[in-house]
Amino acid sequence: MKSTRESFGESLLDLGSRYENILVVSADLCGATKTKAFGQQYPDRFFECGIAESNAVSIASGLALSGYRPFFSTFGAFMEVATNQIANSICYNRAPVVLVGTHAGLAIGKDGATQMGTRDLAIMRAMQGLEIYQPADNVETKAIMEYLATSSNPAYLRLCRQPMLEVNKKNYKFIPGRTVTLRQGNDIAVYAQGGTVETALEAAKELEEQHKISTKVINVPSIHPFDGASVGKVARDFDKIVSIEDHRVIGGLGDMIASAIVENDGSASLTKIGLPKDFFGESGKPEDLYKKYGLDKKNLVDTVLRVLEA
Amino acid sequence: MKDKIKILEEKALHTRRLIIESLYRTQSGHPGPSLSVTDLVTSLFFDEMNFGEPTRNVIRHSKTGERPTFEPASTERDIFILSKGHAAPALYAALAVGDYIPERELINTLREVDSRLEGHPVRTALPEYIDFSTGALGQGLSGAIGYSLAAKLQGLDRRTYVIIGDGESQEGQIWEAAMSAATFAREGKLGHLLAITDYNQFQNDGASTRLLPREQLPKMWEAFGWNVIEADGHNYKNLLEAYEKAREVTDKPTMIIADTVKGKGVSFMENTMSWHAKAIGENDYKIAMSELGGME
Repeated sequence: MKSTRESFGESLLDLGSRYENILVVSADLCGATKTKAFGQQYPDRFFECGIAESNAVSIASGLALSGYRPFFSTFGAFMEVATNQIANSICYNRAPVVLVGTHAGLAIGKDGATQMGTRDLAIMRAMQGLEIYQPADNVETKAIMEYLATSSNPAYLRLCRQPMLEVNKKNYKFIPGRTVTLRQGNDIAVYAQGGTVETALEAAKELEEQHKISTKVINVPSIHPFDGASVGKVARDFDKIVSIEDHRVIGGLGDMIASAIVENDGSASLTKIGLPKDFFGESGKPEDLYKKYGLDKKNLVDTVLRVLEA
Repeated sequence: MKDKIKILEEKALHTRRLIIESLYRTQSGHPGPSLSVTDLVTSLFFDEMNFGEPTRNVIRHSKTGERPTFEPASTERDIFILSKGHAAPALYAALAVGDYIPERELINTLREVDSRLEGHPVRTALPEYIDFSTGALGQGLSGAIGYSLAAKLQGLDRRTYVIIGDGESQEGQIWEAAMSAATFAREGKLGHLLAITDYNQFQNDGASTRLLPREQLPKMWEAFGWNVIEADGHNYKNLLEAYEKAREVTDKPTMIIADTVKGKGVSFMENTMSWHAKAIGENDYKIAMSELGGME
């Protein structure tokens, strides 16, 4: 069990020794976003800008346009401070910066709504030419990081605070755009991402064992690029699809699946599980919040049973 | 020095003609701020900066949505960012005067569809010479800090130059950048960074002196830890001396506060807010061109 932010920090340190063009830009959250060890190992390649995200993002752009591959990390919730800088300094310049938004969704827990990244996917998906990835475990985080180290496209990496189960095999190969089927099934398909992937796998197991329902579980680590055609196929093979995401149901995974079904001649109905449209967040233990807002195994099992009965 | 200044003044005069000619043809744009910044841009491009030789291989730009392969900025020359991107015609005119782009391209295509010369500078449209896309105000100084940090890390002598506006200095990001640049300089991480404020006293809706009074501005930059030099932004002797003085200070970034005249060089555009952004009519065009010594 390891959080994807921790895996990111380890990977960054490792990649830093192999790729001298990797830099880190920080806005006073290097401890929480796990770039601190990189800063200690490579102080010359670490730029602490203080609590000034807009400046940090544009500085990262200038570094990138000089030939470097900077990683700028902060909470996903604070990445949006620099929305116009991400659009203009990074995307419009085509500056090869990796933006790393940690503490996705509810799992920051007791710190509450202002610290929760519940809008970040919607905002980042609106950015022209910005690749977007969210790993579901340690193996996937490291595979995505290997790709990011050698790519020269601007990217947003969405990471979680909470420890997560290993759901991918050791020989996992990351391909940008591709969805990843983690469990085969015949009765219903569930799309999940990041923190909800293990919920989906646990629910699928329970559905199989207790209800004889066979659930296909598909992880979506690559948000942009995104293989919409594969969703179209799933939406012809299955009558019912459920999506479950630790983000509001506006502009995130559920919306992506809905568009992809319509645009690729799918016929399945879609039920979205996610944070409500006008929801901010609240303090509480992550597991209590997941339960209250339906991102837990029980709600997914109940939803599948309800959807299949209908 | 005298001859040098005379040559620069001639180049500036021609730059101003190109600004008026191209803005008249395209019937939109920002004459006032392009003219106020002209002598700053001219003195940088044709004396202070090492901007390299023209590389006439260009037309690679594509607006079709295709992704161009990423190429970092040249390491062979200095970096220039026009953070007040609405003064783009002054930058394009300097590129034309320096033979980096054809004069005809500026006059015929400025602000038109498929042009490399958009209303505000676009890096990906002309990556050989435009180091940062600007127009959303407040971001260029931070971009320049990034370039300057990179130059130091790469061990390059290259210098980074950035021009910001007085109105633009109301953006909070300018002061985030001010704070961080001085800090990085103290820590030995910043390369040579020279910023210039084009203090032309006007912004879109009124006087820029309201929120940032002229006498207050140098104290603000000094308080943030910068080396501050004040100069007449239309006096070449003054400007070249300021650049020279800036080179002597290596432990701080330098801000030159340049007093300029909005619309400088065209009598009826000088010191008027209305020429911040306005299409030039035929009559005004003729008067302006005759004041600037005509066009061949």
